[in-house]
Amino acid sequence: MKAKDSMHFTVVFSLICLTGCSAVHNKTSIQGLAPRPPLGFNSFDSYRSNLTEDKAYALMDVMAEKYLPFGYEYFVMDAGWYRTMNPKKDQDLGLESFGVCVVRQDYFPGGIKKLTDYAHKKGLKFGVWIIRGIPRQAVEQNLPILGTSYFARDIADTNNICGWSQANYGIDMNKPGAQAYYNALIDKLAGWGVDFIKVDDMVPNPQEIVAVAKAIEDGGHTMIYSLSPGDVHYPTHLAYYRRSNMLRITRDIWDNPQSIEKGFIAWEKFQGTERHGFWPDLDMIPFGRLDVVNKQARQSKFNQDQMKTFITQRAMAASPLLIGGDLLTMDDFSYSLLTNRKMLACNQNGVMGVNVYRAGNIDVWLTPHKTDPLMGWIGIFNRSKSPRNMTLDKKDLGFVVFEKSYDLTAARQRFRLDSIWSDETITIEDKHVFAVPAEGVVFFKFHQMP
Amino acid sequence: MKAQDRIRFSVVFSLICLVVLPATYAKTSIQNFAPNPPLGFNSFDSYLTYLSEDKAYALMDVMAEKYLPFGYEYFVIDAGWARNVELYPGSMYPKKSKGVAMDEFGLLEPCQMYFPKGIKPLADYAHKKGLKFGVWFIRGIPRQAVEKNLPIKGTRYFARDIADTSSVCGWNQENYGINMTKPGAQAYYNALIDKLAGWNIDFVKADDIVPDPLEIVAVAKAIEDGGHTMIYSLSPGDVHYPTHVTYYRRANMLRITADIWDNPQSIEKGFIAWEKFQGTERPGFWPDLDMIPFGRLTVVATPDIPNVAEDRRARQSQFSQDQMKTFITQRAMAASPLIIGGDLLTMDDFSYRLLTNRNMLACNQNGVMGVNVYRAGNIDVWLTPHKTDPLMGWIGIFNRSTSPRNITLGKKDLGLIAFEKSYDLMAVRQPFRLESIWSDETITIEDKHVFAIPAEGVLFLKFHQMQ
Repeated sequence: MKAKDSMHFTVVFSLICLTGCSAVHNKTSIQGLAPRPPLGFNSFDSYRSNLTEDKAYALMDVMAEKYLPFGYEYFVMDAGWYRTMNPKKDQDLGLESFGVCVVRQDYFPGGIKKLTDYAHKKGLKFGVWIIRGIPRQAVEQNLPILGTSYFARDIADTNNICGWSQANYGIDMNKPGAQAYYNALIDKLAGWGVDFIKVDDMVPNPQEIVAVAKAIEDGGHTMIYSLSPGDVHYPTHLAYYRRSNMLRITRDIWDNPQSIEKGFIAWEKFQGTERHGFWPDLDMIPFGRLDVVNKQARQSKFNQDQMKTFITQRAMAASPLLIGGDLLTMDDFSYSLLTNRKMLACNQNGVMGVNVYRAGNIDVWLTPHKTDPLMGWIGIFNRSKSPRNMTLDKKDLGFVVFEKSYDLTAARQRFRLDSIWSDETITIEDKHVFAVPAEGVVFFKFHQMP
Repeated sequence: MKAQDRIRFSVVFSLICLVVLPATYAKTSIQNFAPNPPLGFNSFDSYLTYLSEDKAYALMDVMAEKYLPFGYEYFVIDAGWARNVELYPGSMYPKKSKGVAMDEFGLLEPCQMYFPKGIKPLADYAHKKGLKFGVWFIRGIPRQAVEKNLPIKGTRYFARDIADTSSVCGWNQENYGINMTKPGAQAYYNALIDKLAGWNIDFVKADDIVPDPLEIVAVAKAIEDGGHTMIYSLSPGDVHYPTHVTYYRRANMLRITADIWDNPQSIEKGFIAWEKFQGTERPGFWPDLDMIPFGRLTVVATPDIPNVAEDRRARQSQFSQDQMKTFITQRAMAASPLIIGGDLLTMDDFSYRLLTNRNMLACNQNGVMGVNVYRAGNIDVWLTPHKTDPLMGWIGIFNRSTSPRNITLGKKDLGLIAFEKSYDLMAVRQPFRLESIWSDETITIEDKHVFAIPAEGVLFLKFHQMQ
């Protein structure tokens, strides 16, 4: 090879490398976007649909300073940033010519892009809520679908409506122009630098789940895709849920004991369905000040044991952790739970635990370490209203091995249990008496001892 | 930039590319090896542990010609290839075992009687034919290697340093388990996998390993850290523990039933295992309902061989045609790997037609485990969603009783329901077109339909929602 030839070769080779690289970035894969359960904040539990610009900036400042160092990176604004929730009162949705809604000027005079830029400058990522379908006003005005020869009435299915929001009509995905509408919506949000979308009223509609996934992937966007609400699921739809990164698996969760029970039921139902990139979601964490913009403003009604139970469920179930309470006024106890590095390590391990023991309102759940069979986490939960002393042996705790093939026996080895919510360390050879507070939990990291 | 600088730049850039690319290939990821359920042949059901070289070549010839065009690509030799035996004169049937065939590091060697020329020529032949080649091995280190305290290749440790003599297999006395917390333990599995990779092996079936998560992980590491591309299959399927799913998923295939044969109990075991594992599949991880015992089975034990158990005698599969349709439909709808067990050299036409039905294979390669949507009076309905298109999929209506049945099922029973309004679970208004896969029948269902299902049979339908 002459010098000139070799230059040619290297230039061509370099071009191949460059072309290869850029082609990889053209189309994205949603499943590659969330290798671990996403961590962040969502405004609904504290600001409902009344978050305003000044509060958003203040919240991002606190989040970047006090929560981001622990991994909480997604700042998500729930409903209310554009007018859809109450069209009777909000006569003018401020629709753009192609039917994609615009930002509420009274709440966000600076627009969304400034907020996302600010988030990115702070090292955060920025998310917004949207709801399935096309605004009813766009259908009434029969607005055009961007980049197509179709109009809102060509794609709207006026029979297909949300049970609790009158803002939108569903979209008939068989119609030409339907996919183009979702593409335009997602492209617009991506143009603002949005990194995360929470799509509401979506779970029961597999075709539209797939349509939004396509809009993200074919548009080459990097956007975490979260599905709500979590009231109904159908087992044959799991293949479509997995086109997203997060699937709500409970109804709205609040600061009451029923919500803790809902968590156990949903966790058990979905155990084993998580994937890298797909995380069953136990909803926001209502710790600290809630509903701060209305008459129900209150400190979370959870007691400290309930809070430990609540966050331990989410750690051990590898649920996304989205803080719901007001970051501006978070109490120290809540903050200490939310930022406990051992709890977060269990969550970011990314494996949903499984129920290994249940008797007399005592549940034991075990979360295996994702790569090391010699360690993991166990939670002993007291689902009753009185404190309990419970004798559990290694088999009850899920520490079983197959000593000989097909011979299920308790492991001969000793295990060290390090409590996450206290400094206690236990070595268990055979069995142990565990004291579990009413509605409380003892949460351990375990290691098999040599 | 001067010309010389430009050359220098491009040379440096090319070097960067060259360095980065091999680095990417150096370590592999098992989960990328099997985006769809693997298809192939395993020798156990037809040749038990007595497959020999001449038969292996003949089987590969038939496989390449008649099965590869349909996607069956993995040719897997089960146990017996690494054990020396004394044969009955004029037969390939063993009179007695002469122990594990192994090298100076306790690593498996080919059986002198069955594979005198070694394994690599077979793997190379497979590749020339467009096939891929797999072998069985069993967890642990040969007891013979422990008795001789052989060195662990590439280390200063010996077999007795890593063997756990209390960790033994319940049905095979050749090996001891390995204590993975001992230094040298990982090196042993690395050496074993490297040796197989050196023979160009594309697939390993690791037996006696499901109950031992540490060794499951050790073999996965040996494959990935060694930079090998090797489908990794776990056996047997008798016991599972839910907390171990995360370790099972370090493999591509997990047996979820005990050994399956040509009897009605095996069909029931299939339903039970499918239901237990529904939803646990991933691209790269496929719950495995075991081999398909169609055609001629256990062919080596011809009538002149003495002292052979009746169920190990050469026979045609005892399944009826309806049982066979049920059996293969389970595996299509459960996205199980399809590994043919019967003798490819003598496969009957009916079995061949079922195994190579393109509509059946499309359902299997769709790669989604179906779910049970209806169960009453020994009738099961299972639905397998299409992986990307919610308007189509597959339905199986199974008759788990021993008498024929006529059953009236509505769209809801068939799982063809949608949420018209959020939270409002109701039957969809649209009609569905149902196309039978095992016959030419097409049904349009508006509301409900009377389905006729043979005893122990199935109606396997592809559905499309109509506009």
